[in-house]
Amino acid sequence: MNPDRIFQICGICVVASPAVLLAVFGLTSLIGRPLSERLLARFTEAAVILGLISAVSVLVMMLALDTRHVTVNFGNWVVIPDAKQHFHFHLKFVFDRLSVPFVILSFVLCGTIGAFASRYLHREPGFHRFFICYAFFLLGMIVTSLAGTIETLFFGWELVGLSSALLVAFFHERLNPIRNGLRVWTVYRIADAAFLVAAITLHHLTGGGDFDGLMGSGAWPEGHATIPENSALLVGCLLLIAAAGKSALVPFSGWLPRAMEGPTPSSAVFYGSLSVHLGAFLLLRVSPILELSTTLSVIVVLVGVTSAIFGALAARVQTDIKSALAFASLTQVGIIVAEIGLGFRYIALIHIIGHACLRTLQLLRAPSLLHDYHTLENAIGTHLPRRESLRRRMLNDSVRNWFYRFALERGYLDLLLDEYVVRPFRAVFKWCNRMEQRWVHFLSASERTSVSQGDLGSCDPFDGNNDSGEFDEMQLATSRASNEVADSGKQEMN
Amino acid sequence: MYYRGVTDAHFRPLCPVNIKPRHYVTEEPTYSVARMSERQAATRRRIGRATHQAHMGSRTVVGGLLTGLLGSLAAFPLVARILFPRTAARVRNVLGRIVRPSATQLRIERLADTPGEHNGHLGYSIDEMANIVEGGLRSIGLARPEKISQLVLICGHGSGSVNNPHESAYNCGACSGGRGGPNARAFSQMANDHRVRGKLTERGLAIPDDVHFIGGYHNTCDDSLTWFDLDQLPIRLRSVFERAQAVVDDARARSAKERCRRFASAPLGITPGEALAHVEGRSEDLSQARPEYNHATCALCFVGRREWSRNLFLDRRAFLTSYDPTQDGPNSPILERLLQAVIPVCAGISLEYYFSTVDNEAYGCGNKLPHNLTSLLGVMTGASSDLRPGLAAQMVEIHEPMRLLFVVDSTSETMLRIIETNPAIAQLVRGEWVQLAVFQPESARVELFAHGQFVAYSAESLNLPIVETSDDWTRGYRDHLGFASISTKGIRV
Repeated sequence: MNPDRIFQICGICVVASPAVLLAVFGLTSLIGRPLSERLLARFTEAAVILGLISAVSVLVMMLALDTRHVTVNFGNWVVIPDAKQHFHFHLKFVFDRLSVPFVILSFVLCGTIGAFASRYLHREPGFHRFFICYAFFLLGMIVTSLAGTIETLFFGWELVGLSSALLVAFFHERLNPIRNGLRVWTVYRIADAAFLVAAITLHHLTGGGDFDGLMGSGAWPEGHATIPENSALLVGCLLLIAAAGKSALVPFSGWLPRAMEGPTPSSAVFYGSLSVHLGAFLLLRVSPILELSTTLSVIVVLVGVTSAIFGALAARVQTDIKSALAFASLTQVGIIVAEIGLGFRYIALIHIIGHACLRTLQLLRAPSLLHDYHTLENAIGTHLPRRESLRRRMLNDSVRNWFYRFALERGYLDLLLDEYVVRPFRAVFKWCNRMEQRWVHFLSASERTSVSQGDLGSCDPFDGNNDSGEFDEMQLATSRASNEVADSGKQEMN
Repeated sequence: MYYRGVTDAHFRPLCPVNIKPRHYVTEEPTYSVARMSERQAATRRRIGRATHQAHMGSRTVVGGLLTGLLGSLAAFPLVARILFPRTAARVRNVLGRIVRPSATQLRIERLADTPGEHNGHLGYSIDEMANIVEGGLRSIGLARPEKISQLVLICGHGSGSVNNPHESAYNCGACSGGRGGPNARAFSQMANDHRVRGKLTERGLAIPDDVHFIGGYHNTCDDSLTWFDLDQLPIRLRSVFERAQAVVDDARARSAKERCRRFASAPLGITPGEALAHVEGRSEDLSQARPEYNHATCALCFVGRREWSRNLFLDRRAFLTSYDPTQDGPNSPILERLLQAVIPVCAGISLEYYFSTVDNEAYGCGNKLPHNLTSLLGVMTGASSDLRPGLAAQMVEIHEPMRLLFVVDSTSETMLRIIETNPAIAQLVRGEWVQLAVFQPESARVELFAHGQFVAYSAESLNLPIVETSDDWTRGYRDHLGFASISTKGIRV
């Protein structure tokens, strides 16, 4: 058997094992014959081990044969043969120095978490749901890491986003997880929109979504992009927004602590380690674009440094362990992004792997915190030392208090987004709604003159509580209905 | 008493929470290993400081950068502790032993007049020791020379689990959620003291010279037993101790097996040896939300002679308190003192489980899985919520909410007098927070306390199933089981 064939087989195994896992979990649930806890755990174990062995064999063979770039093709799925508007959707996976470590990391962490969760969630009503989301997540991670085209990457990216949001809202009998899950989902949508626009722009620029075409033929990280600098800046900024949403960089940081609503293992692996690094991974993948534009690199570094400083500030004042760890993660992700912006790609990759392992362990052990502190105190033999921090010595009280409030309020980021992004959006949509109602009124009033105003109001399909007062700006501001609108708005966005 | 172990930084009270102890006891390395121990303490301090630095550092920018770059190493403990919890725990134990003193002793005898937490004021005077030993022996019915055997094992209990913010909820309630091993150790050391024994003989409680006490600690989670101060065991008692140890080891495995019946993740046909391994793995498993079920399903508290409860299968649902009415005085002072502790403690435990079960969200702390430690003092649910007191759903899921039934080996007149004179007991019994019955062996009558008086209770059936071993009775069942009598044939000892 020639090496190419073995590469193909191993590559297919890496992608197929999570896909088969998802198919088994999903289909058995769909036909109403869910698997037992033990079987679910076994299947997960088998899929992860198979995937991990295949990934490691790919790595070993790549090292042995000194190949740095292996592609596994699943063929063209969509081809629109048009000379001007050519489009093809090519399902292609690439093994290179970036994707192989990332895939192995995903398998190791997901496998460990799978074993952890199968015991941790024992007898939990949502056990199946968790593992189906888990299979989605694993497949999404593998597809994203190995993606050879931007469309494939987007596909995996979406799977990860969907399963993450569903896992935040895992305990859906309570209100808070749903609210926070919805918030995460909303931020993800913004990131996805930016990603999609970037993908389409790239398509237009290069005529295909393949990273090879995009970055030149060199294996990662040596590729050189061939698009003009201005386009690179535009595409890079869009991708940066996508990455910032996924990695909770400033200004999207608000969702990260909120994501700690799910069961501990999902918080650990998804928001603590894997999912939160996807943004950084995306930037690494498209790093040749960053090289093209200095402005872009500067922006990336700025976003990273701001996030790191913000995370470090906020982590200091968190009262609960999971939020503290979430912001600590943000700090590291910020540094990683800054490293990418500065062009240190290998360091960023090593940093991602180290940070992911460490943070997963820390988050899984989060419930031991009290015990750990006792152990530490016993070892040191006194209360834990509380050093005078540098800031304390250098800053006066009012400045420190300002920083304290800033950190405690999590940088007012959620508030700013709500006030300056969400509110204008809602206002515009409301205005459109009102205009549409007016138009409908105008059209229907001519036919239904006999119907009274009140009846018309209750026919209103958009907001049952609002009567015709909706048309009056003044009344809107004072009416009870507007309060309710605001409340429901809060529910959505909180 | 306040206790500080050899590797502890602070004293902690090991007594019921409503009592403020006056006495301080410390554990020290034995004199011969004292210098070695100082070095170990220094090593512990260094490791502790480094761990603390790493712990805090991993959350800051600069420290975090370093730990992030070296963080891949964390993959090893991560994978090992989750996939092989028992092995990982053994390795950690072996490593931990390097920095712990090998031999320790309790400083229990006070030199100064007043108790306090500083040197010289630590411990108890001989008179105080004699009082404690006398009280203890009399209340458990060992105050007669013919009742006491050569080797007396006194055990405290606690529960060791990992990754569990509710760890102290599994520990000893009479130690304010601490671990009762040091109490047992101190008691044994006091009872072995010849000066204490001399004082006791003067008070008419003679402990024969060949009797030796050994303190122990029972970890109810992994069913392990640790014995203290075995070096002081007289050589002639070694064989007795070894026999006892063999019996205890057998009992541990059987106990683990009976407990495994309730764990859905343990197969029903598990052998005692496998069961022991299973509970050991459970206690060291980071992902285990139910290290043990502790007092869940508690339904009964029997206060009386052990002869009446021996060979009864009570499905691990009873608190058994030894009390011998024949050794009690005319006005039952021993029983009164015993019940002053037993009724509030057991009722407290039972009611805690009761309320956490009937409304887990309001009185309990709900599902344990999204719990998030906050402010280093409690847990909240998810990213933000109220502090959640009470027991978790995972702790009470097999509990059957019911009021605890106390069955006391005494007469109704005595019990009515005790209720009259003890408002704390009266509140619980008259308020019907618990049920109370007296059991009179002489007349084989049971009287139940109802509406302020004792009324005769007639049993529905006097037939108790008789089985050879508890295994025959429980085989194949995970749910609650009725009581049964174990025929003595089945017991191998």
